[in-house]
Amino acid sequence: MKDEDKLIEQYGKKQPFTMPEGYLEQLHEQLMNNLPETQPIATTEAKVTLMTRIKPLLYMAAMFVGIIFMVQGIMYVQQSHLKSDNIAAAEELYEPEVDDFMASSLYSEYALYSYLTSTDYD
Amino acid sequence: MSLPTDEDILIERLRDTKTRHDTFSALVKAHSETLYWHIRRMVLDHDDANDILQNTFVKAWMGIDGFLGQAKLLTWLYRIATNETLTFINKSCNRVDYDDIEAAATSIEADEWFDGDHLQAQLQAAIQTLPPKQRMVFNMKYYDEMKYEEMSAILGTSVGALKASYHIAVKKISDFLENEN
Repeated sequence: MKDEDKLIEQYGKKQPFTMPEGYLEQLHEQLMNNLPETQPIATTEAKVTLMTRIKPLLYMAAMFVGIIFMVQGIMYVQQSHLKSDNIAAAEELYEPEVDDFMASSLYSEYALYSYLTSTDYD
Repeated sequence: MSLPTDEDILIERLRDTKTRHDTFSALVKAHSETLYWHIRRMVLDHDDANDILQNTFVKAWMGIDGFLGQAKLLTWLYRIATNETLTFINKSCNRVDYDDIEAAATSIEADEWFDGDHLQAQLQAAIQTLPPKQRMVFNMKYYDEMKYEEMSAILGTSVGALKASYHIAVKKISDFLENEN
C-alpha cells in the first residue's frame, strides 16, 4: 500500500505519548480497592399458580368440547340430509294399492308381505 | 496470582465468587496497558484515558456474570473499552476540524505526556480529523498492527468494511499531511 508506506517512512510507528511513571500499578491498586460489590444474577423463579398449572388442561378440555360440538353439528347436518332423502324416497315409493291394502286391516303382516312379494303385484 | 493460559479455566475462576477477585486482579494487570493505549490514542489526554479505562474495568467487573464466553476475554474487554471511548468522544465532541489542525498539533505538543516531534504531533492531529470509528480502525491497524479478523470481532464490522475504512483513512491522512507540508 503506497500511502501507508509513505506514512510509515515519514512519521514512523512510534508511540509519541507516554504515561506517568508507576501509573499502571497505581491504577491496579486503586481499581481493586474500589471495586463495587457484584450482585449475583437474579434467578427468581416465576410463581406458579393453580390457574397456571390447570391452564393447559382447560385449553385441552375446551378443545375437546369444541371438537364434540363440531362433530355433532356435522352429524346433525348429515342426518337432516338423510331424513329429507328418506322422505323423498318414501314419496317415490308411494303406491295407492298399498294404501288400499293397509286400509282393509283384515290382513296380517304376513299377508301383507306375501302380497308385496307376489308376482301379481309386480 | 498469575493469569491461567487456558481461557476456560480463567472464565471458570471469574465465575466462582471465591476466586473472582484474585483472577480479576490478574486480568487487570495483564491487560490494562493494552487497553490504556487503545483508549489513549483515541482521546489523547491521559486523564480522560484513565477515567475511561477505570470505567471499562468496573463495567467488566459488574458484567462478569453476564459474560457467557462467546468471545475471548480480551476481545470482550476491548469491546467495553471501545464502547466507553466512543461514548466519551460523542459526548465531548472530541474531533479536530481540518482548519484547526495546526492549532491541534501545537496543543498536542504542549501535552505533558507527549514526547514526539512536531511531525508526529501533526500526524496525531490529522488522525483526530477522522470520524471516531475510522480513527479507531486506523489506530488498531497502524499502531497495533491488529489483524482485520480480530478488529472485526471487537468492532462488529465486516472485514471488507474494515479494509475499506482503513484504506480511506490512510488516504485522507496522507492527502491532508501533503497539503499541510
